[in-house]
Amino acid sequence: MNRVRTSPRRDWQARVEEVGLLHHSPEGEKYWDESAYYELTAREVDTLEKAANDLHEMCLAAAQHVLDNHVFACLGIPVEAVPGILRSWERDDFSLYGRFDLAYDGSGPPKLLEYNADTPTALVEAAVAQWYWLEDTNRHADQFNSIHERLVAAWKRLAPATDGKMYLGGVKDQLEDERTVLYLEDTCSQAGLMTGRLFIEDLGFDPARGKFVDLQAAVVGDYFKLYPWEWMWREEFSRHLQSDRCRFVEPMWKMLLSNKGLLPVLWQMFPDHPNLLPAYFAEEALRQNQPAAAENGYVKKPRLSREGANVTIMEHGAVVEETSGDYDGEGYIWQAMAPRADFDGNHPVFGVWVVNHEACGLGIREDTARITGNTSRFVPHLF
Amino acid sequence: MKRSMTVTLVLSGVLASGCDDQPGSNAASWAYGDDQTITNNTYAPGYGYWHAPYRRWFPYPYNYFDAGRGYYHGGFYSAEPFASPITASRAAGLSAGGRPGASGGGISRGGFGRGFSGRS
Repeated sequence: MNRVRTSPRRDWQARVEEVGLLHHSPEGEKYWDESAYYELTAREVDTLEKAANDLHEMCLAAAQHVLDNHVFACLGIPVEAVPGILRSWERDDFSLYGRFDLAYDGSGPPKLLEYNADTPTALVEAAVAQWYWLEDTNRHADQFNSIHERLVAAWKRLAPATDGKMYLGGVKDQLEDERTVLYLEDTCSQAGLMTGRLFIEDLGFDPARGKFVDLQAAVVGDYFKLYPWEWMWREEFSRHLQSDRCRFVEPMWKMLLSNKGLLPVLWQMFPDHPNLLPAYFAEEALRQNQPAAAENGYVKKPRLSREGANVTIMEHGAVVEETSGDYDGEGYIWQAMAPRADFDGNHPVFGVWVVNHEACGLGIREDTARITGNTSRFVPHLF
Repeated sequence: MKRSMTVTLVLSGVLASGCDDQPGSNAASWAYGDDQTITNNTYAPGYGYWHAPYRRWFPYPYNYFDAGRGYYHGGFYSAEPFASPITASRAAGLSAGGRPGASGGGISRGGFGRGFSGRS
């Protein structure tokens, strides 16, 4: 694997905006960065693809373990959500996508950092912007990226089960969310479904009919929400989630996967698996069972944090890096440090996309800091 | 093959038409009213053929066979005809259980969406 410096396309801002990536330079900071790209080998792509497929299967097994053993509290899942999760799981409710974040440098096996299984973003850049970048710059090279056609195919699989219309929405006034939802609406439309955009704040509830409704009071039977389940369960309309009034995408059972509490469960079920890092629910357990990790480095992560918030890196008993955030009230997990990939001082994280339960694409984000956050740059790749 | 063959943007890129008269549109549905069902392959000039399972108009008839590509339905071709039990569907208000505004008030909103601080 190489990180190759290159000249950005002369009109790169216009080019990425043309394909829907408007949030390329938030607050003047470079987010889309084509001054370099990662060059992988086909073997490395195969390795990432296999790791993500294996991990997805293992995550489903871990979810079943949580359900069978009723250890929802370990994941910080509210008890009132459990019946709905069980029903959603038993029905095998449709899941569109997710993104594994993996540590990898091309030498050892990829290591799971977390699974963004509910509301993954960085989709437009992975599925579209880097595909067009490749078309413009290296059209004879390949790219681990069939995300777009897999999304269309996934919606087509869902279509017969719907009433023909899919609503999609996230929160208002968030450019990245709006672009992500618009892109997903595009794929949904290309699959033959009627679509409607509906911000989650505008989702209504009609007590007379016992249904969620849109702004014209039409029933919302199917709704793609770019909004986390754990927040929904804290809010006023959570009482309407007790009965299955609407098919939400992602489904409720994804709460089991989009939770770093799953990492210790995975390690317990698959100890020493090459794609896992040792992880525990208690710091003392990690220190006792992984003395080398305790000495060389480990990470404290909130069970439900996002965008790298509230993460602390410990080395030799001292804090060497930490981030702030609003996620310090849900409990933590402790995970051994992944081998640190370093390319000219940049630390990449490999986001492998899973669509319709199958790995199908890659987006790489890098940072000079060791904790990947919402300002980490997206760098295209090829092989 | 790891790479998408094509990445076509209809709504979200610069090619977004923003028009409602593209294949797959529901724009002709006004002519049929909220409660009127339309059967497969009903033809509307300027809009195309109704594909009932998809609740939309398309440029070719439902399950139209092209020797090189297969059977057309919902904007795509497949090797087999699309066997949906839905042979007729309503043009609008499909999921409403009534026309817009039919609930007569009492609808509450804002019950979700107060917890935003980023996704993953």
